[in-house]
Amino acid sequence: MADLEILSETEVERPNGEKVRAVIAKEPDGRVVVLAYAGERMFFRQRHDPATKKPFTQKSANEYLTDLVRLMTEKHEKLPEFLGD
Amino acid sequence: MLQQYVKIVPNQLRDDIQVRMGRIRFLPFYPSPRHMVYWTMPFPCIYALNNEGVLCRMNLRTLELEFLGGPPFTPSYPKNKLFVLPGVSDRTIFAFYADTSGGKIKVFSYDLIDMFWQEHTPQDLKDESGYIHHSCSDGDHLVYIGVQSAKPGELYCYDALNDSWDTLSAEDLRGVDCIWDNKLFASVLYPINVGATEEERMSRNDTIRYLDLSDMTWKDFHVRLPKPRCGWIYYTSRAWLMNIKGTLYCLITGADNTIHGQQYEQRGMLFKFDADRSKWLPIDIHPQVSRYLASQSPSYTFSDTHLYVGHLQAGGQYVWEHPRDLIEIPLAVLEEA
Repeated sequence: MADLEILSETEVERPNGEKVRAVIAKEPDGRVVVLAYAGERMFFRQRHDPATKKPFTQKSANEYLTDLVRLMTEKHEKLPEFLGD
Repeated sequence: MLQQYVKIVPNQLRDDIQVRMGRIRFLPFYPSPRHMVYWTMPFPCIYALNNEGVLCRMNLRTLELEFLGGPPFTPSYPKNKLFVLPGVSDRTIFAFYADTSGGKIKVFSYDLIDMFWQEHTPQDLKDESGYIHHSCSDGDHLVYIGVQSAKPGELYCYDALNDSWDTLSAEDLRGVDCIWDNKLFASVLYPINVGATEEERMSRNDTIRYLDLSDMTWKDFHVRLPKPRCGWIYYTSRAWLMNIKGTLYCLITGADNTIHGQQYEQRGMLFKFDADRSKWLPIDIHPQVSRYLASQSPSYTFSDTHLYVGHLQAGGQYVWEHPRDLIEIPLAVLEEA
């Protein structure tokens, strides 16, 4: 993490109580990446926008981070009736 | 190993049953594994998302359980599937997630060496209320994702080599169970049998549908589903078709009132398909063992030597009360049928 330039950082708590830091950073080669840490351990690294397969801009990284946080913090919902078994 | 059995086998199992279970191990995988996959990296093990939303790895040599942390989504029983795709990478676990809020199926991969996740190209869902139901892979690089929804289902194919998706004809689909003989078998739900007479139940013929992957059209399989034996009073659940090392098997779940008079205690029956004779052959498994196969929605994976059956019960009327998280059955037991 030492060689990364941190552009933004958000801390969220997941439904299981785990605290996660979601980070937008710039790598030494200028590439914008989205990272997620549980404590000091990086468990997620996204080096391009999966929807477009293009490198992140700061704007698309921001949008992706917002969506990632939603995904990580979503609570379980009741199963719909049709799901049955 | 005996100590292991003493610890884990429910008290009501008698010694002779424990002996018969000697070839079948109950693996102490707590909390419950939901979606799981066998893999050999970095050692023979089972990877599973457990019911606390954590990726776990059980070493099958030592039975040691490691917790690898949460994935970058909130695991939920009907929304996830795990696959290994050796045609793409032998150091990666793929996780599929039905992001119903976002209206997409998302794909993530977990690098077993570097121990981090990344996301791949998502696929839009037609019906945003859709959930991933039964799904399978070709064991190489393709994953077939069945989506059950309020409308007729959806069927997608993810090509992990090219990180791309195809939309396939879905019929009225709940999902897909396995590929065998270039046939993609639909997940089969038995009609409800409550109130039916024994004769009515046993005279029913249940068709198996498959997507012929050579011309991509849905067809009837030439053999119908196997019938549970007499005494099965209720088998609403399903038939789970499995391709295990090139042989087609069918796991039927239901309830049996012939054992100890306990109605509604679920049981699983296994059949092996004899392709030469076009016939289902029942596999003789002790009734007390068959209870470990029973689940409204089992999950299975296998190695070269063993079948692993996990359970995905989401709840419902007949919630299992015995420990039954993960069992290991030697394939030799199945081959003897």
